[in-house]
Amino acid sequence: MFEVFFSQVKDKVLLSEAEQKLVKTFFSPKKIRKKQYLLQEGNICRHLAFVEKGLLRSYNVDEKGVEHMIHFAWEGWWMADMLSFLSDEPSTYHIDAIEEAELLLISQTDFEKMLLKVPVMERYFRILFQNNIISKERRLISSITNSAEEKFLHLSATNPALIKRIPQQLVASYLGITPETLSRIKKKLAKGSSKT
Amino acid sequence: MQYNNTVAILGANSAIGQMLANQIGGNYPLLLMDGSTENLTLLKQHILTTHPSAQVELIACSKDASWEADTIIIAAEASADQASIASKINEVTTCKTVIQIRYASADSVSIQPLLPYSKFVSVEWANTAAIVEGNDEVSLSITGEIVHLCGLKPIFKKSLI
Repeated sequence: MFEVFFSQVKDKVLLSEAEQKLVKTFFSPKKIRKKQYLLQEGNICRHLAFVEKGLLRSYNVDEKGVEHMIHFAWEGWWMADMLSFLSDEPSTYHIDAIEEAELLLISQTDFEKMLLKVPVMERYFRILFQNNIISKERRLISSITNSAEEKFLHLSATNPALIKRIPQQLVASYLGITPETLSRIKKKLAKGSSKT
Repeated sequence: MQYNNTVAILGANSAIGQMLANQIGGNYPLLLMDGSTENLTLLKQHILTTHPSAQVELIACSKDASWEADTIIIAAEASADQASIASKINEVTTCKTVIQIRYASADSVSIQPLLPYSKFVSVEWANTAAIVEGNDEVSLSITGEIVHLCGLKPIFKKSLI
C-alpha cells in the first residue's frame, strides 16, 4: 500500500523504520474508480494525493465546455491543486481518474503535523517543490516560445512515458494543440524518420 | 481535495444497518457489505425505489469497501463480528471516520483500540436519540448528520458532562 511512496521518498531522503511507521499514520489510503472525481471546480482542495497505482488528470473546462489538460499523475506522482490547497481558495480545476487508482491522501492539518514530527519529510517536500517549479517554468517557456512540433518533440524527449500512456486527445490538449494537429505532427515525424 | 463523501456500511443487513442505508442512501454514495448477498440485493432495490438517483454498490469484502470509502459505519450486531471487521479494515482506515454502532448488549465493547489511527466515533442507538462520542470535530459533524437523517436526535457525549 505504501511501496511506491516509500521507494519514491527514499530516492530523495533517508527515512528510518520508525519515521516510516509514523509517516504512515498521517495518510489515508483511498481507492477511486475510473472517471470518479477527486476534486471538482469550486471546491477547496483539502488533500494532497500520492498515486500508488492508476492514473489521474487535472484539467479545467472553458465556457464552451472544452477541457484543457493541466497535469497527469501516475504511479509515484503527486496530484493536487496547490493554489487551492495552500491558499484555501476554491479550485478552478477538476481532478478525476483516467484509470482506477489507489491513492494516499494527506489533509492540510496532517501535512503540517507530519512536517513537524518528521522533519526529514520537510526536506523531501522542498526537493519536490523545487522540481515542480523547474518543470512548470519549462512548460511555461515552451508554451510561449515553441511551435506545436517543438512542443511535441520537447515532451517526447522529457516525458516519453506520458505520450505512451495517455490517450492522444488528452496529450494534444496538454500541449495546447488540436488532436488533428498532433496527428499531423506525428505523421510528419514518422515520415521524416523513415526517410533517414 | 473534496469529493463525494462515500459511506461504507459494514454489516448492512443488520436492523440498524438497513435503516441507515435506507435513510442516507439519497445523500451519500453507499458501499454495502455483509455476508448474505441476497439480502443486500433486496436492500439495494429498496433504496433505489425510495431514492432512484442513489449510488449504491454491493461489495463482498469489508477491506475493499473501507479502502474506497471516506466514512465507514460498522453496524454488525454481534460484538465478535464487529471486532473481526475492525481487524480486517485497520490498514485502510487511517485518518478516516469510523463509526461503531454500539448495541445495548452485555458483551458490547469498544473496537477503538483495534483502529488506533482512525477518527473513531461511537454511537449508542436508542429509539429517538443516539449518543455520539468521539474526538474529531469533522467526524462528529458527519456522524451527527447521519444520525439526524435517520430521524434521531444526536446527543454529543461531551455535552452531557
